[in-house]
Amino acid sequence: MNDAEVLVEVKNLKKYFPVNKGMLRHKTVGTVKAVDDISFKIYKGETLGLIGESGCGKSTLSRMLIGLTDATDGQILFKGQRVGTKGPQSFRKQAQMIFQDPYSSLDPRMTIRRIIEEPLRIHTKYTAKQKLEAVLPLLDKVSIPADALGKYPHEFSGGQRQRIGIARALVLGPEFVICDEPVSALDMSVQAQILNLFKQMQKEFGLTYLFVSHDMSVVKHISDRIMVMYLGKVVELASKHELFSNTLHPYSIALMNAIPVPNPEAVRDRTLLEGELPSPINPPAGCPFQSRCPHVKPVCGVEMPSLKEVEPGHFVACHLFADKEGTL
Amino acid sequence: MEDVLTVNNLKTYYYSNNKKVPAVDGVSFRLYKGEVLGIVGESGCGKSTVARSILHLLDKSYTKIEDGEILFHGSDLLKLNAKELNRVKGKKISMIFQNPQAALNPVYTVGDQIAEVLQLHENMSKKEVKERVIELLRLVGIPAPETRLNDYPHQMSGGMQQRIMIAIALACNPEVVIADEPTTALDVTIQAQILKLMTRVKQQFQMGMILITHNMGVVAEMCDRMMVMYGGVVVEEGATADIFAAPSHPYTQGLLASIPSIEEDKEELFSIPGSVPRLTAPVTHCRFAGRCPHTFDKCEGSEPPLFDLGNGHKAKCWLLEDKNGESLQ
Repeated sequence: MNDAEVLVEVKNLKKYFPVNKGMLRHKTVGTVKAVDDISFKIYKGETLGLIGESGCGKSTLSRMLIGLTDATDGQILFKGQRVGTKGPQSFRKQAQMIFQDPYSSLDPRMTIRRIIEEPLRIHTKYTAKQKLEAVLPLLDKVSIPADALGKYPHEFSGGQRQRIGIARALVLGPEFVICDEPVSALDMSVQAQILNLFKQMQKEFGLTYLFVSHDMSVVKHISDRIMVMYLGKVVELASKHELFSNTLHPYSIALMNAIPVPNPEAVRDRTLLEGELPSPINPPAGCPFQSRCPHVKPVCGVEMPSLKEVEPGHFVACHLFADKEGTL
Repeated sequence: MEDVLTVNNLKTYYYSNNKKVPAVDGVSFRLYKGEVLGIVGESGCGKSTVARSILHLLDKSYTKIEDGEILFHGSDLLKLNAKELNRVKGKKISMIFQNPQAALNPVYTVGDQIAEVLQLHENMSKKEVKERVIELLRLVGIPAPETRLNDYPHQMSGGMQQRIMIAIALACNPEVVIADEPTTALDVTIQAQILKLMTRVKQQFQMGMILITHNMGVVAEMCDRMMVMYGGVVVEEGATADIFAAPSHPYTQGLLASIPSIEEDKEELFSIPGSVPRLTAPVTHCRFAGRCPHTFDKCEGSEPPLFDLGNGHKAKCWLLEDKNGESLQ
């Protein structure tokens, strides 16, 4: 993997939100470290799965990557070039996003044709005919009939709307697509159709995905590598097979134990996590997971473990693996 | 086994723009004491409407229970008047809702909201009510219940709020608890905690539970028996282990095959083509016919009955006809 071309590189990225109190005189009483010093790379042509519970910063991270929010600190490099909210136009064409909720991400007052053509209108000087020529084959690829162009979003089901959202994201021919929980609002039988479409589109257009989800089985199905986040930090990053066969971080283990398996015969020896996500406002020093971790040590309350490569390509941030030989 | 709740041929229709929508179109089942019955299906299949019909929680301006009976200890809940029904609601049959944030009242403390049920149904002094509230909070695993009962819902996390909902549902030791997607709004690690809590209280109080969900994992984990609903009818029912081992209706087969698996790798997922149809009454064909890979003439012509496959396992599909031949209805 290391010799593959790096498409996106994130260096020490941080996003802090101030917490204000008082109605007239805003006083900053704390900061929420939504994304706290994260570094990783996304290689060309791969799917990087990003998993975590609500409040872990996965949506903030994806919004920063696409340039919707400014970073507090750190760098995002796309093909070696720095990008962000003030990134160049060419970056906007090459990176697109597919949203979670197909009901609120399509403008109800636009026809399907206007929705899908909108990126072309902004970024190209195509004539009406050229635009239509770009849209039609794409519509066919996402299995939406051509007579849908004159219709409005409410005339479509959730699955079809998500297909339209995919067509809109792909119309400029991007290289990098961020999918923010794209199937969590869909029904079970439709979810499989859309997941298959994602894989098909990736093959066809050579796309690179960042696939954000809270559903471990969906992430496992679609990803090549998986990154686990907890309270603004990356706690584990490994290839899919490595992560599932050799799970190291106690949080990743707990996350996997918590998934209900669709098999009534399955033996369940689960160690459930006690407690809940601590408040992200001014979290305690040290490891963010210390309050729920079954293996907590004194050092965890003092120092945040850094993300270390314990096996080739397998990164984990936990004091249990301070030395390379550390085993659980 | 003793059955606490029997639903016979329930039909609940929605009316919109003079169109009849058969949201629930002839559903029958029994709930036994101490068991968990899962109702699974996609959105629009009628699973929530079944639950709401039982407790009369539907908006009467556009819904009507057209037919059927809901027997609770032999008396038909549909024939009770409002006063009699209120004695059952919340006391003998209670409900846990999907979204605790929306179901809890933001301007009352959680202690007050639990106490409300007790004040309505039980003849208790103020002191007894408070003691019972604290006992309930402890039961559902809220730390420091003596102080937390003065909290407002917004001071609690989603998981804690759902625990409060469970405490409200359990307040009067109900015989039946209906849980409508109780963990859908929660994170996986919190979901696991809530499911464990529900299993524990169910065993402790030996009540019957109806668990409505779209998550096959939750069903496999929690339920003794399950029903799969599609387009307002039950297409398959039986013991959970039997259905997972040998799904007999093409829809159930498709659903189970379309779930991405943690254990094995598949390049492509099986997917059911099309999407959930919108129905208008009356229906004279198999509701799954348009999406089924095995459709033949008979499916378009008439609706199959539930065929008995033994051991309480039934499925509504013409493919099962010549094996067993006999219909139940």
